[in-house]
Amino acid sequence: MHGKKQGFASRPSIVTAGRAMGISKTYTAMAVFFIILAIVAWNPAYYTKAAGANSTASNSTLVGNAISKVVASGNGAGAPGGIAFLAVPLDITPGIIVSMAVLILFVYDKNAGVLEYMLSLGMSPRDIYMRYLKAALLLASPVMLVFAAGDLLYISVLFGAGTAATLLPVQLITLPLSLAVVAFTVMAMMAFSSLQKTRAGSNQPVALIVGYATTIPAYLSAIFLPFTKAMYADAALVAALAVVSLAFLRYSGKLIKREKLLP
Amino acid sequence: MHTLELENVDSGYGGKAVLHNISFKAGEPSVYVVLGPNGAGKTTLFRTIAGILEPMGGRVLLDGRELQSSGELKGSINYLSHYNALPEEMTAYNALKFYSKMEGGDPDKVIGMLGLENIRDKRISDLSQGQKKRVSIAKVFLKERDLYLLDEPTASLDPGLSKEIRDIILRLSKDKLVLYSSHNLYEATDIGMNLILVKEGRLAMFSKIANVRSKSYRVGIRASKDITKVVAAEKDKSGYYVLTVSRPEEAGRALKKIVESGILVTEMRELDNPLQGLFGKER
Repeated sequence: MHGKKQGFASRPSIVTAGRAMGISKTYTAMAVFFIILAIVAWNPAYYTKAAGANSTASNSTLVGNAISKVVASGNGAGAPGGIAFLAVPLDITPGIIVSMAVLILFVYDKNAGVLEYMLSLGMSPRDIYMRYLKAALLLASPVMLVFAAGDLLYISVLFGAGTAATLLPVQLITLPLSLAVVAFTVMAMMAFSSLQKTRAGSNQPVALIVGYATTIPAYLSAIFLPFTKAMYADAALVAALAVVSLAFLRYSGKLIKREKLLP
Repeated sequence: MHTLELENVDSGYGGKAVLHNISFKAGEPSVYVVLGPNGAGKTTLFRTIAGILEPMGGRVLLDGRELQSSGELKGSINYLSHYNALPEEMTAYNALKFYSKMEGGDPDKVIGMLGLENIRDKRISDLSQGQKKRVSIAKVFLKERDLYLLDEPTASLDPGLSKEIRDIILRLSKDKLVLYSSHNLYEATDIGMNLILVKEGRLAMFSKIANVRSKSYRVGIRASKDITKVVAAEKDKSGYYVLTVSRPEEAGRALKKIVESGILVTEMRELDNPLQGLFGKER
């Protein structure tokens, strides 16, 4: 490619992310809907559940104190403290949804011959995958950052700043997990799409299933482990997904033939 | 001056070869018309030369350097595929800008070159097939390169624009190598200097078009009176008197004879193309 220095807005991944948002605004709207739903509905419910039977009091400060105690002790009222982490695999939803737009764009570009043209310009399949992967991460990152900030703000209003601080690890693990799941999902689906013999290319439903399937360990760790161990288990899952995604990207040229990017 | 050379190239898809043992050397700046029946392997040939497909065997060399091993050389080729390869959600200008950021070039220049001013700010998705094709062709001319691979560039274009495109290509071919595939045999003879004939994935002919001769030529004549008594012609269903000659010059002599007998000739045209015979039974 020509060596001209490009501005931030004209970087390929930014352009690709912008195009993805442009062709499917519904996914952005759905991501916003799930952010609001998670912040006001399911997260407070999970955090309250984490406090167990002790948190049945109607006073929000009491609930917050109960959450903090249960999390700090790692166990309480018959429920392992890790239950607060049940929010994590669900909280990645907005990130996955918004990245679906990139998958649509990838399939669309493949069918329109855009990927073929990129190959003719001397790009490798890896360059192309990287362009779309970065775009997906670029879309998911701000969505998840906004979500984390909104969630912590709402919890601090609802249960107090102390409780929000106690639950900070939940959001700290949600952000990298969402990006790892997005990376894994996008790479897997670009591969599936490339391997598809017919040109239907509607892989978004499969992408969602694959994305959510990778979060099953996060549910299990939240249910069966105490708070700290659940956090480590989720961190390990993040690392594993990141390694698999990077390995796939590294060997994509060998795993998927160039012809699979042709319309 | 550039040289494209294919040495025993096999290429295809999914491990199955479509092209078999293709070898030729194109070094004269001109238009090389690539002809062949549907499914003969023309697009596969273009994709292989463009570096989109890696050959299963053999080598593709540009100026003596292997294309597949040189990323720099891959950028010396402009490839126009069957597909328009345009982001449909963008305007024509933004689509060209999108590609100019990848490969360089000036969108405004090609917009002027191909007369796209009136559709500059229209979305690609709102354009007709012919207009999309024009934008697609414009992107190929964004940056001047050594080798142009044009896969049916005038398909779905009106005759006027086809002529303009051919003129641009002819100008280019003065110092560039242009490989041009077409199903239009008249267009092929009009624009091409050299012929690359591909049949069933094999190189059937590599020759100057001027050297391709038919065994016979059929000439259609419309005239004010019956000419069958003057020359050996037969009237067909469409109203033409059909004259079959073994060399083009014989048609000229026949015309002279008809005119000298006092018959007014209102039309005279070649009914077949010298390249038509190359297709065999397929056409």
